Amino acid sequence: MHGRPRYPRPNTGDPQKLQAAEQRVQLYSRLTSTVLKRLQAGQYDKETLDLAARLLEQNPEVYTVWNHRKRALLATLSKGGDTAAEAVKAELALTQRALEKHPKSYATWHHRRWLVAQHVTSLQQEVDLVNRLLEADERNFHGWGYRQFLMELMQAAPEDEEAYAAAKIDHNFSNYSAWHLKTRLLKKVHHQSPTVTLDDLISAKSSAAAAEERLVPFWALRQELELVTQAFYTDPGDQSPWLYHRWLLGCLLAHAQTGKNKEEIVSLLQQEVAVCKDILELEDTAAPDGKAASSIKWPSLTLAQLHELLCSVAPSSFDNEQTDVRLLYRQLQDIDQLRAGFYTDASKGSAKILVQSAT
Amino acid sequence: MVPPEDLGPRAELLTAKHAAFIKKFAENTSNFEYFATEHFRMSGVYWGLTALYLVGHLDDMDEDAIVNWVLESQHADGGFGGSPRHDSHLLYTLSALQVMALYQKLHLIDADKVIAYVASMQQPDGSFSGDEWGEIDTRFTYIALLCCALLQRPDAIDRQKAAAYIASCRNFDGGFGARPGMESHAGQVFTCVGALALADSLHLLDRDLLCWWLCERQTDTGGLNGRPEKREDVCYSWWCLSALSILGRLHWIDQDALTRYILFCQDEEEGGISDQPEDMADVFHTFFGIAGLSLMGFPGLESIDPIFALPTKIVQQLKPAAPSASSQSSEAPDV
Repeated sequence: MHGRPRYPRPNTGDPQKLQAAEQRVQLYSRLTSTVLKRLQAGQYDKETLDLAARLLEQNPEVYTVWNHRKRALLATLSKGGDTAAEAVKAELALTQRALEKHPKSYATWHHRRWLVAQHVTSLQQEVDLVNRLLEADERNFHGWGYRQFLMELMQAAPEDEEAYAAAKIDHNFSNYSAWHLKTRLLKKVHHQSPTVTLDDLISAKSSAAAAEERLVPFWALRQELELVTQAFYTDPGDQSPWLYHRWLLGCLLAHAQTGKNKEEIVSLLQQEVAVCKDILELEDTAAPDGKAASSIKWPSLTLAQLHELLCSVAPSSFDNEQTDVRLLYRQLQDIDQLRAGFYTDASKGSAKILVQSAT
Repeated sequence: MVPPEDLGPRAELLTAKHAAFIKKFAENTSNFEYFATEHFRMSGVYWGLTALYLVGHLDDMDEDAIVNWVLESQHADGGFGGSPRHDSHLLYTLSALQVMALYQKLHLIDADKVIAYVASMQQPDGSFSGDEWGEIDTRFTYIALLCCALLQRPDAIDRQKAAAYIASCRNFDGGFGARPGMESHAGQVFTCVGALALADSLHLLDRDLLCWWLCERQTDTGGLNGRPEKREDVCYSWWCLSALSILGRLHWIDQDALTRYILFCQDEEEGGISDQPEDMADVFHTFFGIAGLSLMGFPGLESIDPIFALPTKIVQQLKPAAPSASSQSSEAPDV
């Protein structure tokens, strides 16, 4: 259904090809009927399961067949011993073959997950499999979801998961899936702050104090800002780091809500303003083609967000930032015409995307 | 592929060709595709028939034959399979109800049985499993809520818990994934926004932030992708647009550019719409392309409800027991 070219049109070929195609249909339809008929009659003998495996290798989304395999496996597992071990091995091998050919098959991923949930597999083997699949396609969300499932089962340390995400980003700044994972992990990693004792956690704390504890520490935010800045300079047209950056600004906004550390916040924001202005200057000479437009759009939009944030954090020092913001949004209507409707609303203050990042 | 200035034969929406394409696809019961898609045929029927309705050609198909086939696909547990030979699943239970709704034949369904099946899929944390085998996905929450709305039994499931589970799947970018912690994807966004709308819980999402992320799905081709740095695909014309429509921010994308992209994905020779220009057309993309055009008010098309993913007229006749987009103003005030 996706990515199949229109030409050459199917069924317009030599008679031999047509005959081969016809045979293929016959074989497939006979296989399906045989498999379904037997499975639905409760026939779970080896020959049937082998035929079922053959069908699934061709078409792993035929969920009914996986369902029957689950039933068959449950019966075998309850008997235990070598038969059970062999059956698990066969199921792992089948799902692996299916995933390598069809890495986006919902039914296959679920079958593998179900298998793991029967506690008959090696979790490390699963991690190796998913890591391989994510090497082949770093944006496969089934893979990322499966990895998350495994990490939860293994009670993996957030630091280790963060290292994996960081390695993916190091390999490719455009890996939005990895940036997304970072947003889940950053707070987990830093909440294990050694300065918060168990007694602190147990004793009653004011909600403001508790909220503070959920803040990402400044030193961590600086580190993250440094990382995205590298990404910006590598390719300012790549949206993934900019989207992550907006979230970092939301983390700064959370700090601002506490009313503390205003100077630190302002200093960080001004640093970011300098980065955006620097990138815009570097892009200034580029011709107005599509790529250059997105290289200008992101620092411009971010600049507008930074000005808005500075205005709300330190209103007295920065009121003239307001004019800059409206001008920026007007420019963005030209630079990024597809989203002119958004920029119009943004310039009126009816598009609030700089929001406090959730804990 | 950016559409050229002159779309040539694709400048018009070739509705007659698309209707013929869908009918031809449905009638070909001997090609490989027919057998290979049997397990999700119920959804294929829903996509094809709704597309036909939108272009005014529902009568091209044999209503009685289809209704009988749908009823044959219901199983003892109350759910529907992708076709009579396939196990029950929420995906096909919803598609079955949607097909019956199109024909105004929901009364032929034993609602109690279906509702019991749907309700049995809710987990303690509010999420829904797709079937007895436990796959959890926010799509299934939307499906469950919609089944209940179509059959007028909104309280058969715990709506509050369902909405809370959806909220737990909200990400840093305002979007939603399949499970808590999973990356935002436009398809999941549609189902989560639809679910929250059905559960009267749109206040649980960040409207501006999410709609901004959605409008950033539009690429220079005019088409929409499903996630950052992915290729545009016509089906996102529905997933993104329906969510933007429910949230009153359709004007945040360039509708002319998207319209041209969808039109450019037409197959002017054999009919149908494909995922990208010059790819093979299929019923799925034909439906979502037409549905997207309908949401944008393309002339000559019936209107479609973005929450129910059914024609507005059908939804109005149902007087369903949940908010539909047509029962609210499209420029609903921000919550």
